[in-house]
Amino acid sequence: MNRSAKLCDCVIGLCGLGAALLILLVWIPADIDTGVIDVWRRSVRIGDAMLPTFAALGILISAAAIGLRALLNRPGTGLQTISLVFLAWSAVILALSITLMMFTGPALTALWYGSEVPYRRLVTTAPWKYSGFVLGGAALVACFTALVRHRFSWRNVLIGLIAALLIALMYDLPFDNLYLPPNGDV
Amino acid sequence: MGVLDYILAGIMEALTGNPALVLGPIVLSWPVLLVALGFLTGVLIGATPGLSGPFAMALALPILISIFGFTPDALLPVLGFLVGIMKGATVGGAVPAILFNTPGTPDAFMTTLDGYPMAKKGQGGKALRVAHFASVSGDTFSDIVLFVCAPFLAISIEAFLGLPEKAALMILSLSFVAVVVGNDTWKGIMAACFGLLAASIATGTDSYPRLSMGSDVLAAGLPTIAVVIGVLVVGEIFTSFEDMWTSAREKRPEPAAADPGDSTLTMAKRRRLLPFIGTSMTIGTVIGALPGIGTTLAAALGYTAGRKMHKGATRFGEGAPEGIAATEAANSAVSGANLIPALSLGIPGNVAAVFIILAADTIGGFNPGPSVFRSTADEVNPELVVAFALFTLMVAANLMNWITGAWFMRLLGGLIRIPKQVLLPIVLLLTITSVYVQSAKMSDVYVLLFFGAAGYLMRRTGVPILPFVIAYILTDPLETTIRAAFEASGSDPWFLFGGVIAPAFLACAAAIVLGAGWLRGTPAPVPAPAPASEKETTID
Amino acid sequence: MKTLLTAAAAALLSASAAFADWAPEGPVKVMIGFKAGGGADTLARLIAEDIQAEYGWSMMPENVAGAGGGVMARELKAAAADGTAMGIGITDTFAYGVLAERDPGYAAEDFDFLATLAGTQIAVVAKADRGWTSMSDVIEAAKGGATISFGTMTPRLADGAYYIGKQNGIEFNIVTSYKGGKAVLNAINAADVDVGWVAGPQASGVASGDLVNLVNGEDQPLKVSPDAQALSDIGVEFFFGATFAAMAPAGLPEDARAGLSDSIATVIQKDGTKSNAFITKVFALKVKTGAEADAYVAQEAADAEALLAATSN
Repeated sequence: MNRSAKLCDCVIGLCGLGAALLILLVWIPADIDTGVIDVWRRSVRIGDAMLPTFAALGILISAAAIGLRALLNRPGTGLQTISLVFLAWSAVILALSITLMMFTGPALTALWYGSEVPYRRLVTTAPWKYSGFVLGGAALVACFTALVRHRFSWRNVLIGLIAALLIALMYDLPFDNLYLPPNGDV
Repeated sequence: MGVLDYILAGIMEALTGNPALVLGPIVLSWPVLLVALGFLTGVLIGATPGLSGPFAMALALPILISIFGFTPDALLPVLGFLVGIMKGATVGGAVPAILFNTPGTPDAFMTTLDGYPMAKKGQGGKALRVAHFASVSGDTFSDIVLFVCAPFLAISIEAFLGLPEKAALMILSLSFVAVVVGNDTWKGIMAACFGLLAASIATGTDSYPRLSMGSDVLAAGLPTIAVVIGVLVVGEIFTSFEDMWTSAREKRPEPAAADPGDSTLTMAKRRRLLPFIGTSMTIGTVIGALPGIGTTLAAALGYTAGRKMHKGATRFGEGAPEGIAATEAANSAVSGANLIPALSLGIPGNVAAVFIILAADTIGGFNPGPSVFRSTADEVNPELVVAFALFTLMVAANLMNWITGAWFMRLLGGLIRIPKQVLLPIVLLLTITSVYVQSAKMSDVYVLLFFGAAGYLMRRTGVPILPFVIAYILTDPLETTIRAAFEASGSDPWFLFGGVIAPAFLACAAAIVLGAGWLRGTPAPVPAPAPASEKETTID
Repeated sequence: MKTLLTAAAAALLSASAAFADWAPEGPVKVMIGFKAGGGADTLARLIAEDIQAEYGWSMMPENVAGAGGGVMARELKAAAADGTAMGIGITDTFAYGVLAERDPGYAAEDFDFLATLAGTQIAVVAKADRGWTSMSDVIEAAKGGATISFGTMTPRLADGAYYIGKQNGIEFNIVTSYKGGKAVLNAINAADVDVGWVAGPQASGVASGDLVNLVNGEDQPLKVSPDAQALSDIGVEFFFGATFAAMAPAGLPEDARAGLSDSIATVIQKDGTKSNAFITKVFALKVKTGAEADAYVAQEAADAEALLAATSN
C-alpha cells in the first residue's frame, strides 16, 4: 500500500468520524424537533431523527473502518491527486462568472435608465434579460477552456459568447415563462 | 379491463395518444417522435468522444421538463426521449471505440480490443456492423425479458409482500448496491449513508423541516435533479477539467480515423456470431437485473466467455469480430434488464434507471413500483397503460435501431471532433442553465455546484457515486414504508422481524455487508490512473 | 335620489373600468406552495397559463414547496406588494398550519387573499371488497376486536382520524406518513392500510365500484357519491376538506388586488379554459373573492382552533 493511499484513507476516516460525530451530537439534536421515537397523543411513531441518526451511524462506522484499515496498513483503493491550485482557480472562475451573471443586468440598466426603472421590470425585455447570462456564461466557458489549456485566446471568448447566446435563445425563444439566470432572483 | 386490453391501450396511447402530426390516416405521436429524436441524440452523444449516455440524459431531463411541463401528457414523450437516448448511446458508444481507439465509456474499452485492430486492417465498417448487430440483438432480448418479468415480479411482490417485507427488500437492495459498486465495501456504505443523510434534509413528517438550519432555501428541500446532476455530471466535468489541466496538453494527438472500408456482413457471418451474442446477452441480462452492477462487469464477463468459446483463426485481441460481438451484446443487454427492478419495485439499478425514475417522480402520474402493474376488473389503472405504452416505445426504439442504427453509426464516424477542452465548459454552462430554468432560483445552481464539488471529491478519493445516488432516490420510499409499517403494526418495535420473508431479506443484507467485507479483506487493486490525455469522460 | 344612484353607478363603472385597465408592471411571479406535479401545482400552472392567454400578462410560475405551504408563505410575505407576486396554495396553511406550528414565521394577516379557487372531494375510503358501506360498519368491526389501520396525509387529517375514533370509543392504528392522497389511495389498494383519507383521486374507483366513500369529509355532498354517510352521523362536528386559494402579500393597492382577483375568478369560471376543465374534472369550483375570501380563511382558522382543542388530550 503506498503512502498517499494510506494518507488519503486516514483523512477520509478522520473527516468521516468528525463529521458523523458532529451530525450525531450537534446537528441532529439541535435541528430536529421530534427525536428518534416520537410519542404523539399516546401513539408511538418513528420520529424525524431516526433516519438521519442511522445514516450518521453508518458514516461513523464506515469511516472508522476505513481509517482503522489504513492504520493497520491493509490496502484500500488508490487516491488520485487533488491539485489545490486547480481547485482555487476553478472557484475563482465560478465566482467571477456567477457575479457577472448576477450583476451585469442591473448595472447596465442603472447606467442606461438611471434609477427610475429597476432591472426587475425588465427581466422579460430583450436585450436586458440576456445581458447577464450571456456575459457570465461566456466568461465561464472562456475561462475554463483557458484554464485547462493553460492558454487564453480570444477565439475561446468568441466561442463562449456564441455558446451562451445560443443556449439563451434555445430556452427563451420557444418558452414564454422560463427565466434565464439570474432573472428569477431579482 | 383484461391484460390484453391494457396492452392494446398502451400501444394506442404510445402511437396515437398525443398526436404531433396528422396526415390522413397516418398519425405521428409526440412520444414516437421523441423516441426517434432521443435515439438520434443518443447515437450522436454516444459517438462523441468525451460524452456518454447518462450525460445526455442528465442534460435532457430538465430541458424536457421545461418543454413539456408537468401535465400527464408530458410523461410519455419525456420517458420516450430518455429511453431513446439510453439505446442510442449504447450503440453509439462503439463508434469512437472502434474507429479512434477511444472508448467513450468504461465498458466500451473491451470493444476497442478487437474493434480498433479491425479498423486498422481496413475493416472498420464491418466492425461497426458487428457491433451494431450484437448490440441491437442484446438490447432486444433484454427488453423482451423486461416485458415478461417486470409485470410478474411486480404482481407477486404486491400479492405476497406487506409493508415490513417491502421495507426489508429495499434495505437489501441498498446494501447490495453499496457493497458491489466500486471495489471498496466501506466506501460504498459511506456513500450510501451520505445519500440517506442528504435526502433527509427538509423531508420528514414534522411541521418543522428537519436539518434545515432555519434556512428557507433548505426548508423547501434539496432540489433532487440538481443534487443528482451535480454529483453525476458536474463532479465528472471537474474531474475531467483537472485531468486536462494536469496533462496540460493542448490536444490529444488525434488518432488517425480509420477508414471504414469494407462493411458487408453476410448472413452466414452473422449466423456464426450468434452463439457469442446469445451467451453474452444472457450474461448481460442476468447482470442487468441485479441493481448496481453495471455494464462494465457484463462486458468483461461477456468478453471472457467469448474468448473461451472462440476457436477461429483470428485470436481475440487481434481483430476478431466475435470479440466485438461478445462485448457489445453483453453491455447492451444490461440496459433493458436494468429497468426490471426499477419498474417493478421502484428500485433503480443504474444511472439510466435513476433518470427514468426521476422523470416519473418529477412529472407525476406514474410511480414506478408494484402498484403500476395492478389491473382491476372495472377501473382503468392509468399507470399500467403508461407502462405498456413505455414498452411500446422501447420496441419502437429497437425497430429504429435495427433499421437505421448501422447507417447512422457510419455516418457519424468522422463527424464529431469537437475538442473536450471546449466541449466540457459548454456542457457545464448548459447544465447550470437547465437546472436554473426549472426553478428560477440561483440557490438551485449553488446546490448543483456544491454536490458537484462533493462528486469531484468522491471520485478523487475512491468513494463510489452510484450508491449515493441510489440511496438518495430510495430514501423517501424507504422511510415512508418503514414509518407506515411501524404505525400499521400498532407501534410494535419488532415490526421488521415478523413472519419469515422480512427477516430473511434482512439476514441476506447483513450477510452481504459482512461477507463482502470479509471476502474483500484485500480489495482488488485499482489500475493506475491512465494518463489524463487518454482518459475519457464517463459517469458511474 | 336618482342623481345619487347615477353617481354611484358612474363611480362603480369607472371603478370597474379602472380594474379592467389594471395590469401588472412587469411579469407576475406565481409562487406555488407544493411540489411540482401535484394537484396544487397543476392547478396553479393552468391558471397562470389561462391568465396569460386571456389578459396577455406575463405569468411566471415557480414551486416554493415545503412545510405544507409554509415556505411559500414566508417567501411571499417578503415579496413586493405591488401585484407582481402572488401565491397559490391551500387555506389550511394559513389556518391549522399557523396554529399547529410553534413558530410558523407568518400569520394570516400578512396576506391579502385574492380568491378561493376549488375545494377537494375528501372522504374516508376503503376497498369495496372489505364489505363496508359506511364508517359505522368500520366502527362496528373495530368494536368487534378488529385492528383497523387508517392512512392519513396531513397532521390535521391525522387529528381527524383520531377524533373519529375518540368520539366512537375506539382507537385506530393511524398511519401518518403518507405524502398525498394518491399515496394513501395506493396503500388502500395494496391492502397496506384498511381505510384512509383521499381527497379526490378516488372518484373513478368509487364510480366503478372498486372503492367506497365510507364517510364524506366535506361540508357539501360529494359529486361521485352524494349519499355517503355524513360526519355528523358518527359524532364528528368538523369538516376536513381543503380549499385551494390564491393570495398576495398584505397591503396590495386596491386596484391591483381587484385586478388579480378578477382575472383569477374569471379564468377558472369560464367554460373552456384549461383550469376550469381541470377543476371540474378533479375537484369542485369554490370561488370567493376579496373580503369574502379573507372571511373564509378566518372561519377556517376558528374551526382549526376548535379541532385542536377537541383533540389535544
